[in-house]
Amino acid sequence: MKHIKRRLFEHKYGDRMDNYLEAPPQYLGTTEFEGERDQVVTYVREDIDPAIRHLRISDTRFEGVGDWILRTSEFREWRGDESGADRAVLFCSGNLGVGKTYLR
Amino acid sequence: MFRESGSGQDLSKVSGRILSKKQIPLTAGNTSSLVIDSIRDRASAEHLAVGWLYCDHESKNEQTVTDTIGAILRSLLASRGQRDILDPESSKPQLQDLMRRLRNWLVLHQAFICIDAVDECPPENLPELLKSLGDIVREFPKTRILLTGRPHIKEVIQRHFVGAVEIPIRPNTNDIRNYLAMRLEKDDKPEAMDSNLRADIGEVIMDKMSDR
Repeated sequence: MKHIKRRLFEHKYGDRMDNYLEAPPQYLGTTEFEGERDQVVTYVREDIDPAIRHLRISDTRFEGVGDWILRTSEFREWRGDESGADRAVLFCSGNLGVGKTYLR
Repeated sequence: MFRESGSGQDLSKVSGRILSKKQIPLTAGNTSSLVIDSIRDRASAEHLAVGWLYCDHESKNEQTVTDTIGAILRSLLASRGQRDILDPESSKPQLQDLMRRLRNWLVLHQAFICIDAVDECPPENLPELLKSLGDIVREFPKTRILLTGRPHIKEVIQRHFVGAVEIPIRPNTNDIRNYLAMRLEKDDKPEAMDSNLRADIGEVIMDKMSDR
């Protein structure tokens, strides 16, 4: 649990985090509490894992949205077989969603 | 702008309920995951490896250059069904070791590397990360790298990768309309919806998007 950051809990669970980290002693050790805390810890652990994170993002993807990028000539050239260090990098830039994945 | 509709439902409540919690899938994360999946579909047949990392300013302590290269190496290995020999918990490999292993491995494999939201990588680490990737690309010119991030890091990227090609990701109005239609269809209070409200929601959201 030591590398699970408090910040990360806050980000995902808001004030609920305090219920898990600073629970009154009478709750510690109860199955219900420990079970739920384990779930929270597991979720946060998993969320750091690139493979699981990718699955979660892929799962929320709406079919067909953003597909246009795969059809652009820039993407196809980048994806193509021609070798060359000068064409190795594709940069997809956008304000929307980078760190602000929620529309407010 | 918000007004009571004929059905008595506050527009802001409805659009809030529909959009506040759910990820609108027009994000850079969306682009990365789309590209990763499209390459993975062909990867197993063509001996390609795909490695990626979704950066996140919330976990910047796990995003040193060593961590990042380590995560990419592990996911490249995993995409070919191989496992990392080192247990990340028990030993802390040095960047040099990881780069050496990555190089050895790239002799035999063509790699696609995707770093999502690279602008959320801690700024003090970014130049070294880009330099490490630049070294890789010069040594292994078949390597392909996809970076996503906010437009302001374009200059940093171009400093390290002269030929970098930019694709601006803009919310495509068709994407948004389709997505909205889908979400409104799934709304759990369909009785609150009428065509005026539907049109108003569309208008408000398109308005907000064009503000960005």
